[in-house]
Amino acid sequence: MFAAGGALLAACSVASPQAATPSTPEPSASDSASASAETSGSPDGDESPRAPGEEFTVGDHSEEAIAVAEASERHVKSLTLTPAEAGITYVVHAACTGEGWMRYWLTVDEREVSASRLRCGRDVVDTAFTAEGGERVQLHLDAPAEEGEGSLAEVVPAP
Amino acid sequence: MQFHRGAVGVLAALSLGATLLAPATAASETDACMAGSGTSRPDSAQSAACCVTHTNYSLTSRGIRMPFSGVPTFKNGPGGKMIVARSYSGSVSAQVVVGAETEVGAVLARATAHLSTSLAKTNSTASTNTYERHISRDKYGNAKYVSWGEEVAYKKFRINRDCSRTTLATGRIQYPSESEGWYYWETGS
Repeated sequence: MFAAGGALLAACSVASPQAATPSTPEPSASDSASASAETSGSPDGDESPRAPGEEFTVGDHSEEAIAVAEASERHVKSLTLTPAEAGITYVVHAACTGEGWMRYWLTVDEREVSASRLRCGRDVVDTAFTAEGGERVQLHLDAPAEEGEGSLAEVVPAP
Repeated sequence: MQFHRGAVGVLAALSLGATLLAPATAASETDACMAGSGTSRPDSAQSAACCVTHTNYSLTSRGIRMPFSGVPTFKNGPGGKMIVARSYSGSVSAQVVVGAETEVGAVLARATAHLSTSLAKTNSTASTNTYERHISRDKYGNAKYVSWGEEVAYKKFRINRDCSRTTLATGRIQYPSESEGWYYWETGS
């Protein structure tokens, strides 16, 4: 977790809308991830990705995950699955059910890299890190996970 | 990935290789068509082919990031830590890169059915996502709030009665998805 000590805060400035600088050209999106399909004819339409009233749910972690943290019934489980692969950029994929918030923080070889606090009910993907190879990644979770609720954060290759 | 149907879509689509879905045909029409054709010219395999005329799309996609409007790009450094929070009401909508605006809905319907269920015409949310990040020494950290969407390239074509294909339109459309968050990168200056 990021310490909130005075020395650290003094050394680290916080970005704000006023402090925002003109956009820096960002790296282009990777086109290595692709998919294709040929579809049969069907009526044209504007399909909503989520049907009205559809409940937000949290399922199992991805098979591609190299680290996972899950919370349910007030119990948190954190697993480091496999070392990171060189050259791969990873993201943290996080979501929780219910009305509350969750917070995750990420350590790479026991060094804190990033953290996020987010409201439940959304599907969040934040940049994690780009691996040099062999790093051990761990996710830590501070999540509500009341009865019937669940939280999940996982480190997976970037889309 | 089984977060929810949105997450399933975005990340599942990434692992697809080349998925081909056969065009739907009406069995009764096809049977009649094949019988008629076979009777009239039974010794020509090419000419015996007979299809029900209909329109199809072929789709390919790649992952992209679509920034939310109204949320600036943040920059901080060199080194240290940056904390950013999206506390704005931003939105991001589908964008036609090449092709006709009229295809946005039709292509989306097919893309959500076959490539990524979480794609949408628009992603607009007001929930706050605070992100903290350590910046590498001597580097500048940059962060932008994005929707992790896909650029869908489509080809609209007609299957003719002789089973040949006639291309009717092609294009590329960028769609946001329900997945959103902070995209972070570092620069030297």
